[in-house]
Amino acid sequence: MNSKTMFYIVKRLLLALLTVVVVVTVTFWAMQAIPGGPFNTEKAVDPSIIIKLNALYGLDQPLFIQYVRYLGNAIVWNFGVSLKVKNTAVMEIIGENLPYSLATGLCAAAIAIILGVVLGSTAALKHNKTADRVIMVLSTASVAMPSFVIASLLIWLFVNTLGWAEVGGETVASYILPVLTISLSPMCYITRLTRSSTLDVLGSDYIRTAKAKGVSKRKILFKHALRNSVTPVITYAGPMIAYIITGSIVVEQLFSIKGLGRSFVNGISARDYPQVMGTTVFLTFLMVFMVLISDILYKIVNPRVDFD
Amino acid sequence: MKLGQKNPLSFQVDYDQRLFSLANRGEKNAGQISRPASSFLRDGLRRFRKNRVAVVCSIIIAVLILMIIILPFFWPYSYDEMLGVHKDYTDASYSNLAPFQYGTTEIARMKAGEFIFPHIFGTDPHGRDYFIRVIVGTRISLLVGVFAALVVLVIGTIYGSISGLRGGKTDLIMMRIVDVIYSLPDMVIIILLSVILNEAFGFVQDNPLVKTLGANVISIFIVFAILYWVGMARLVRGQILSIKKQEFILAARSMGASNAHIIRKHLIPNCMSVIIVSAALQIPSAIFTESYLSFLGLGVAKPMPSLGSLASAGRDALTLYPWLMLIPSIFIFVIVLCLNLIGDGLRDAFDPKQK
Repeated sequence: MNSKTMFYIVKRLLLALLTVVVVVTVTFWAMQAIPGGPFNTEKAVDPSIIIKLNALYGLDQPLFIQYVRYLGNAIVWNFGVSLKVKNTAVMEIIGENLPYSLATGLCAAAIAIILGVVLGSTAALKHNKTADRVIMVLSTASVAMPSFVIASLLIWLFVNTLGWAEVGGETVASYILPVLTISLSPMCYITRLTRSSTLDVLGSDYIRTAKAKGVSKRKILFKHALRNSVTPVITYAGPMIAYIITGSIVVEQLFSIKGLGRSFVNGISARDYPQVMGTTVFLTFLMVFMVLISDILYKIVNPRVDFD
Repeated sequence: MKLGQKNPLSFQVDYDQRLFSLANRGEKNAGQISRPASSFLRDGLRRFRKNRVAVVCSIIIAVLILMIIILPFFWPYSYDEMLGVHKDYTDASYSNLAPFQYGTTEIARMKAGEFIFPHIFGTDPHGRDYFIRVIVGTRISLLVGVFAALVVLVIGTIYGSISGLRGGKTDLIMMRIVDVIYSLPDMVIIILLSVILNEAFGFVQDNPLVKTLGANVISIFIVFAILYWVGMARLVRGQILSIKKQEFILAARSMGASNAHIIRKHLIPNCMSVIIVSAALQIPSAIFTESYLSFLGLGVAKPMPSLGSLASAGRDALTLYPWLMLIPSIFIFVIVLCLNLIGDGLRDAFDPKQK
């Protein structure tokens, strides 16, 4: 690793830190804008209890002090204690749900990347033939459906009509449908991406040279073309994985599986401020981290690219 | 020297005057350009018209837009009229009617020879005519999409072009801001903001705009204004930077073209394709975002329908009354598919490298 690469990584890390600080700031002040405190309930509560509760959670301090304290705690990875779930740190709630989100997200990402690259290269190799047309029509059509509609139709078909799967189970089988639903739209995007980049690469001079030398079609694709044609997929994949993990709220809700998104939505409806803020900051961190990883991977796969 | 007299040292050949005759009208006009120069826009439109898929999609969208503007004015039912609800009793036979079915009192009136306007898509669980609800829902969804795209277009283009044209330190700082916003988890921020804005707008419920659209839709616009312009800004800046460096700009500059001329004649036409396409693709993305928010209960205010809220409400009774979900879903599908294909067609047509 040369000094230029080091400098680039340090720069990106600083930027990532800045992003997290911005998110903490925005989230903190936005949560303050919501009228009503976390302890406002339907029942009349003794005011002295509210004062004690506020003092316990530090909510009686001036806002700016609360903000600085929260920022300091967030940097040392402490997001406070949940206001609604008894005796539970926010990190515990995140830690409990993260494995589910990670497993679902990574499986979906793997399916999307593998199938997407395979379908995309196939379409490019069979350019303007039936296979290409079918793949393009399907991948264009499937991104025009909101995922909750696709999920509802899948549930209706496989759960209610055929009875092959169940919703809300803890078994591996009950995660198959959600994973499929989540992977569909990124898969279609990767298919289109791979197809157009493979077409670009297949039209370039060095591929023509390889063909002229008599290299077999299979070898051209796997040894020469693929390495160049998957580079756009790599740049897309990093943010995609983070996006899948953070953005599958709808699917988690529908299939009633555990996950970060669902606990986030529950936290919002329960006005559990520390949990909502903690999850937001955590997900931002995840996103920033994945983008950084994918940028560095991009450089390794494609040494011609210079860091700007 | 006298005019008309030839200099004795001149090499000019003496022509015989009789070789020449007056030019007629046709010959005089030969040098003129007979048709107006084809502009960039017209070239693009000509190429667009040749793309059959994109043209069909445009026609479908145009018909839909006409329908959502005209139909609600003279449709005999309104989107929030519960047909089975009367002052003292509720007629349950109007709930969840299948397409082209009628309620009991309507059947009685039809037997008496009265003409009853059919419920083309049936009715919803509250006994409201579903066709007009879907039409009004399409209107709301498209409005949300178009406004969100406009917000993104204006903010993104202005920000991106300032950053790209100024360059240097300005560019550096502006792009770091974009980087920060770009790496936010958008779904999370959207949900957070719409919850917060919804609470904040609670005070201004009396405002007519907030009242009809609901605080959630206003917060969708705000969210788009805060989050989604960054993609557009990056695109415009990148485009301007790459064009600024090209030889034809240098050539124009060396021929004495003013800055204004270069921006008007070279930068804008070359950025146009990217801007149009990404604005067109912004509309389906906003329609999707609205439908997700509706699914989470953060969509338009009731009883106003949107395609997303209709589809997610219809989900509850998918096995019993499948059309309640399928019809708005098909509308979303057709609209998003057509807009995507139109966007692709525009990209192909307005690519300046393609002539």
